[in-house]
Amino acid sequence: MDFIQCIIFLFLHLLIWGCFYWTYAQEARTAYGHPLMVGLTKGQTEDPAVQKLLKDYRTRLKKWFFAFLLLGALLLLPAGVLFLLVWLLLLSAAELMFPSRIAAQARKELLRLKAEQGWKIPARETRKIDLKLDRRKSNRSRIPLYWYLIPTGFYAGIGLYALGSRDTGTAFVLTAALGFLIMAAGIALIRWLPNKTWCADTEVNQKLNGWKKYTASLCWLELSVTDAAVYLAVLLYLEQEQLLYLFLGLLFLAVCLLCLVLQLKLYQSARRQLLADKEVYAYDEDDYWSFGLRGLRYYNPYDPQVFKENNSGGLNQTVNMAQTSGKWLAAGTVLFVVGIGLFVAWQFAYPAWLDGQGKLADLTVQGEILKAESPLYEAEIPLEEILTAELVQELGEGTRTNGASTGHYGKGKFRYDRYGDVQVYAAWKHPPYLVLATKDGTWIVNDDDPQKTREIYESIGKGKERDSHDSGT
Amino acid sequence: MILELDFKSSLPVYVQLRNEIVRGIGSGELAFGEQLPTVRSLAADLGVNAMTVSKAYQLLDSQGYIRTDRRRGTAVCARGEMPDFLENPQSRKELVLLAREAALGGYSREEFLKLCSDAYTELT
Repeated sequence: MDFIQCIIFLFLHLLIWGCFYWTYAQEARTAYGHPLMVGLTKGQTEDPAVQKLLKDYRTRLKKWFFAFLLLGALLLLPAGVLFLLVWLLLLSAAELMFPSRIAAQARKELLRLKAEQGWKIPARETRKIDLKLDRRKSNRSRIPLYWYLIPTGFYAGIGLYALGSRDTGTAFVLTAALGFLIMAAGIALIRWLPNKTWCADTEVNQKLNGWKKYTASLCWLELSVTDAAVYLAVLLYLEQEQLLYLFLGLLFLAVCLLCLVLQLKLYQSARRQLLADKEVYAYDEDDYWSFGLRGLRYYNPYDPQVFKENNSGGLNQTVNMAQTSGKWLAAGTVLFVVGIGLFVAWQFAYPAWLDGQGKLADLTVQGEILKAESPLYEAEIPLEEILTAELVQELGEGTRTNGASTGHYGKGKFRYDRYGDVQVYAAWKHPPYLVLATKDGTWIVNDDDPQKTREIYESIGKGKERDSHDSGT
Repeated sequence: MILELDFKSSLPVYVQLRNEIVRGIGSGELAFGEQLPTVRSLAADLGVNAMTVSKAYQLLDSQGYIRTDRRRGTAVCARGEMPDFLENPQSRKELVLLAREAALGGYSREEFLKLCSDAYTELT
């Protein structure tokens, strides 16, 4: 299980590493006339000084990302999920922030070079907007809403399946609900995306805006389906402990990402064809781009577009932070990431606090029921089902296969070398533990007060041993 | 019809928008009776507050260039409903100011009249 955890974290790191490397590396491309988001003509980009500057940028970027790749190898250490998570987050933050400084420096040098050479690009001072563009017509090009029933069905299925599951229930229902809400917000945002004016030909502008909405809605559908399918794969893997589900989930993810890229390429190609013989409006936007700690930033209050193409030619977009929708999007993303961070911190901090208060685990016998209770779990074992009871100080080697576990407590399914598959509801820092064999399987429980665990053992453990002995003789 | 707006200009955006729409009607790029986009849609496409577009539409409506109907939306008025140029005292003042500026800039009467003639479009 530890090995699988490491592989999952390493895969996530490689995915994030690849995304960041691709994002920063493309900033040096000259094909779209704005390397590092500095507007240059084709002739100017071929200048030896510009080429050298971009080459230096690429070299520095490669060195940094090679170092990040090596540091990622630490994720293969069997150091526990907390270490893996913190290391992955730290690496991801470093992969976002450090290369951004390199890009900012290179951009500054390129802007200085442009000013020294007195390079200008043909650009307009005034902004052109086609009054005859019809947003309703553009919106009609979106894929029909009923297609979103596919991811909705997935989310509903996950929710219903998880509701019936003892160990993964609430977390997956909430995740599925969040996934559905994000999907709905995306649909609304695409509907409200403004029309863009590329050239003086209204017919071409209208066609392109239709293409844009169609591509955006189709890509969003693909992303939503992928999101829901990966959730489902993870849920099935946790419930049925078969790696095949994880593999299928990852395969689905890879196929959907490929479809997404192809779809965006199709849109690019259509745009190139439609604008081939048109004079495309160009604006000097050097002043509105910058590289901050969070990567490339676009702040242009004079540009109505919420999403702005960066140097990827449309495969990657930057949010225009000057627009209200852009601000909401950025705030939502930050809140989402911070929320997840707080949630994870809570998962570790809350059990520690409960342990400090002596409220982490409570073991009681009520009537004919043994109850293992905590604010984090609740389990009941009928005394009559207990075949044997054992009081142990050490549980030996074991791993969690489902449920939750921190340094303070564990709940759910575990696999121990000594006991095989067991159900655990225990406070780790307060041995001894009660190992209870029942006809339905083995349970490991304890109280955060060792004396109370012993008392419970005395009251039920010995009695059971005697009963077993009696019945055996 | 392509609107051309200068967001860095000291002239308010709603006035620029009003002028651009009048220019569009006058040049024939916007037909008489043609439907205009809704306030919210145009505001989103321009990247401005809906109030800015609303203000421009209200100004055009009060001057008689467009007509807003709750059910049918906003449309350019018919040819015969366009406001009388000289009825607006501001129009004469602006024309006089332009003529004075042309004279100060060294333009002769003929040259100024030629400019006016070139700028004027016959409407059908």
